[in-house]
Amino acid sequence: MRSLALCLLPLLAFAAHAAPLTDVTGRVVELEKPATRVLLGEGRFLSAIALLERDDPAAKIVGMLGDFPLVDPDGYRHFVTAFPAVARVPVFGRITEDTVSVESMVALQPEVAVFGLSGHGPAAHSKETIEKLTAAGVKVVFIDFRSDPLVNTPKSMRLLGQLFGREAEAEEFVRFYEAELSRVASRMKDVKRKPTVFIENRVGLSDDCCGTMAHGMMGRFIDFAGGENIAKALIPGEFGTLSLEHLLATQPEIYIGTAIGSQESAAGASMRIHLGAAADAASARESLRRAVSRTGIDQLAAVKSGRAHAIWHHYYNSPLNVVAVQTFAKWLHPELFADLKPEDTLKALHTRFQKLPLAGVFWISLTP
Amino acid sequence: MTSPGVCYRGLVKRRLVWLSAAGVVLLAALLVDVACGPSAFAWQDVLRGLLAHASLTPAQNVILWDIRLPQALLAVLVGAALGLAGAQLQTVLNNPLASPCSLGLTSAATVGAALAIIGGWHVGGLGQHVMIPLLAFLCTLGAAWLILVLARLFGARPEMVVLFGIALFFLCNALVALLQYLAAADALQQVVFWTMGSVTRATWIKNGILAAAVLVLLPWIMRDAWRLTALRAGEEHAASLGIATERLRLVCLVRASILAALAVSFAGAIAFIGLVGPHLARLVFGEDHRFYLPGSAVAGALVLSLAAIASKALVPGAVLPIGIVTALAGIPLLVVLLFVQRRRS
Repeated sequence: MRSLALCLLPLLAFAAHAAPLTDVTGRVVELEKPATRVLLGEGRFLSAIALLERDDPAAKIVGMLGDFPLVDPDGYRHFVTAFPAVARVPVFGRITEDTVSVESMVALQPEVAVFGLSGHGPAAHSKETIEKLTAAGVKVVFIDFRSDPLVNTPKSMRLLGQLFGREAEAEEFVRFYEAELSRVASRMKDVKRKPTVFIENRVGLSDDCCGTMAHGMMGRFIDFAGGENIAKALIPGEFGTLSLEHLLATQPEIYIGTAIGSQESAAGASMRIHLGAAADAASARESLRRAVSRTGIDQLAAVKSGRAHAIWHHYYNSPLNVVAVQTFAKWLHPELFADLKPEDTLKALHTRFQKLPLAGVFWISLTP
Repeated sequence: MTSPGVCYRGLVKRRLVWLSAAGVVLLAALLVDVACGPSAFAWQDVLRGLLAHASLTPAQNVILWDIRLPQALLAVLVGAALGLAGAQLQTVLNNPLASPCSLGLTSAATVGAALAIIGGWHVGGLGQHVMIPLLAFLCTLGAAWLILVLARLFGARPEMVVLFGIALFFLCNALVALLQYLAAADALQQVVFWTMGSVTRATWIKNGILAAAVLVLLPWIMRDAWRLTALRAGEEHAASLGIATERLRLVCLVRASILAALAVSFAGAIAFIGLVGPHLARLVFGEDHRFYLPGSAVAGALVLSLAAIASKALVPGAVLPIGIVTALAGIPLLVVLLFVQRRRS
């Protein structure tokens, strides 16, 4: 079946030439043929490209923002080991839009620039950048795995498929993605009560408690997996900070921390939780235990009863987010989703789509 | 007709009453700050918990003893320290705009904090919760030392100190911007959050250190009260009374730097208090430094305490960094006092 799809690929690609591309903002861009010189507004988009451009995700990338090694050093090292060409992709800017010069982007002579709707690189609000690039003949499209991840992931992957002439691969991924999502959605009618959830954003980033996600990012995963995110009523935007006292007064039933640890942080006296490509279960659990032993957090009923978990932070901005949704569903409704195995979903993503060996641990619970 | 002596005694008495009244208001603000929060925690229970903490649940104990009390006290202590620092600076530099912020001390603390956050060092097993205030403190003292050395070269003239301070302010801001440019995304956001100032990092150890500094330095500062009052009448006037004005200026700079360094290294860059505290005190107590100095401490503490209450009331349950709210609490107070004073005169 898969080989058949790949055989049909050139035909599909040809068919796409006439169809204009519509991005997640509704912008319409015409491409005469699949792009061969693409600029990435975020280095982390490489993991999405790797689902389509499976042998060498860097082959058609002429430049990218320098965020990937800075925000996810473990993941970047693992990625570069699998795809050494990634290390040779020219990098412009560091991790924010202010560090990006339009000149350096134009100098890389891209045909298309792929930007995120919001986030680290140039975004939908970067009017001047978009105008200058367009004037320089660079087509600009927006994808999104972050603001409205579960809605925009299929759209973004189909768009990337059209862009690279990998429609079949994109379609195959989207079908898999939607099937896996619906394994959660289809059972929501059996959910009688939504447990209250607190998600702590980037545990250990600072001494201040309690950064959280509300409308957007992983907040959407909680909604989708049948949970009541306690931050939604208080935080108007995508993320914000809850007071520790409010948390103690509300006593959410489930605690989820997002893990931004790395090998470097694990070596220091950090409160960060270490998950990701370089983590193992024992040390990951130990880092979660340390994180939830902070004053105040240790008084949460969720922590005391062992319903405290951690998720790899970068699922908030990744097409692999369906794995996190399934994991959340199991944490929120353990009996209902007893047969669901997110580890199999993750394995399938790595064997069927990405040629990136699966390594590390991406979620962990306080109690094994 | 009343004699000047009677008139003066009346004035002193009135100022004493005002100072005590301000102290009572501050105490009330502190109690309100402790009594309010997002959880349903009746004030009777708060009072009971303060007297006998065994009577509370573990979660309530954390709320009272690890969250509300240390944060409320840190707001008061930071406000007092910044008020005292600003009061001395405004007098010895003869400049109503002088404050730990305008001399670049707050920015220097931010440089130190940013270095600790972005460098991510762990010296001798000390975590970031120690390294950030430590480096912020050291950088502030370093900056103050630089101002002192440069100022001494030029005879410690006030305008020179102010000028070096402003130069330092811009230098430190540029350094912070450079560090932010080099920083990783998460570190960058951490620096931004730090610069907003917050009392949520309060601990009993920080409160203890800050309280000790204020309690040790306040009597020392008060010993110079008459000299500082004399200095307000002019440099020559003070010198004619036998006051070594250059030395006085340097000593005050050192004390102000220590207070400001501790305050900002624990609470982050809270800019407004060191400026507005002394102005509020001057409106009420005039230039008599026996009242103006403690008055500045009380005024600074009061504004920050009110800001802490306001930040909890504005978005209950969420955290609004106190640095954002200080101006909201301080400016109305300033306007009211200006208005009252104008009507009195």
